[in-house]
Amino acid sequence: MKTRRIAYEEILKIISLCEAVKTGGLSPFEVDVREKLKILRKYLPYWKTLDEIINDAEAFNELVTVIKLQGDSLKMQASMLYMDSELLAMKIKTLSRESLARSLLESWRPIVALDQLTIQRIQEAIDYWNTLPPLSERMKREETSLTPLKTLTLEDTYKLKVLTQAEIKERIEKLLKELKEKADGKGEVDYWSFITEETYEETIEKAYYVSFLISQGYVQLEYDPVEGRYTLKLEFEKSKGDSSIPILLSYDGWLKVRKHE
Amino acid sequence: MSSEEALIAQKIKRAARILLFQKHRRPGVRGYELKRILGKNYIKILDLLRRNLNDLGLDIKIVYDQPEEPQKPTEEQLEKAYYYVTTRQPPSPAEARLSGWRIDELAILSVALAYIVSKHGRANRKEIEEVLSEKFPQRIIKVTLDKLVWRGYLGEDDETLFIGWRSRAEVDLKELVKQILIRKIQ
Repeated sequence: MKTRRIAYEEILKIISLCEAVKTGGLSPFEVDVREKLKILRKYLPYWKTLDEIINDAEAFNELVTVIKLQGDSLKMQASMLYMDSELLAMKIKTLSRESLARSLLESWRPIVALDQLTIQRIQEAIDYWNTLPPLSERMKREETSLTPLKTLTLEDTYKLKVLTQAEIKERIEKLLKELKEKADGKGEVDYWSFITEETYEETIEKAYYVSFLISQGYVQLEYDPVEGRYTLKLEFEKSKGDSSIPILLSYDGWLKVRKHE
Repeated sequence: MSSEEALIAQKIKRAARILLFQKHRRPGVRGYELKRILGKNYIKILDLLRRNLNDLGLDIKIVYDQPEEPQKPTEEQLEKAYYYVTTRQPPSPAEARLSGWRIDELAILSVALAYIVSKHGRANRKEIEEVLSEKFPQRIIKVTLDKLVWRGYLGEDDETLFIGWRSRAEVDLKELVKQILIRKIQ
């Protein structure tokens, strides 16, 4: 009985080992397929229940997959320049983003294809059009639902007694300290990674205080239109003119950022 | 022009339409579809079309079902393969930007593909994210990898990334690896 239990565990180990290979955690060559097949053969007479037989078949199937992956890997190595992944990771560290992008561009031949309308898409468009309310109705709804946007200044928060001057000063100082820590000598921090917090409310609050840091000249917000990146800079030259950069911080946008953080 | 030449010219035009007009979300046409429409000499028709396309800086790329390209493909392999029209030359950085690509996205795709190749065709997504985190913020990595999977440049299966159908059609992986290795350290 004890041997049977050990045998069962062995089979489960083989399955999980093969799973690790399939998910890319292990090289397929780290599995000694011959030895594992011997184990399967050795324990085959022990299996009595349907579950055990299914497990045995699954282990065998997983080993077949590993052999296939070994074959694919050999073919790939033979047809491409063989490169060690650690060597590559080291090389990547030494290259700039531009160099990496340029490497891809040199080896890239994009597909050329023309998008076209199909009968199905036209039908979908007709259905959409037929169910769309008239413009006059849509405008009416928007008029009643929209309220004009207002800006909440620091003075407004004092008047509304939301915060006292001391509280605001304390929060801004705390935020500046956090920003310096995150910049860690580099003098800049990615705007989105800095303001994103656990909840949407906290994120809004942080973005609000960051806007004071910017308007009071502690930090500068820079936008890179090429990469679409917003950066908070601690070291910068004061510009002559003022400019403003609107950033939309919607709940959906925040959810997306949080999901990926 | 003889009637046979006229027929061939007509078939070349038809082949161009089939290959260039995207019918589904994924571009490209299978060999057996081309054979059904153009006849059994479809490879010859495609060769003639290729010559015309070459003058425009375009080419026909054949992507086989198996990872390696057969030296002498069989009829069956040709029928199962996908056929795409691609550019002959790589795009310049300015052209890539004009078509909506950001430097970050190109660099992330470059690293992901090279890393997958170095891992023999499949790599754990977390490992790739770790390598990328040396250069990019987490938020950008996750969003871009998802985008690349959606566009077919990478394939994803249980937290494992592999080379997507689009990269197989568009990227010369051997050249990519070479380019990364020969780049001077910065």
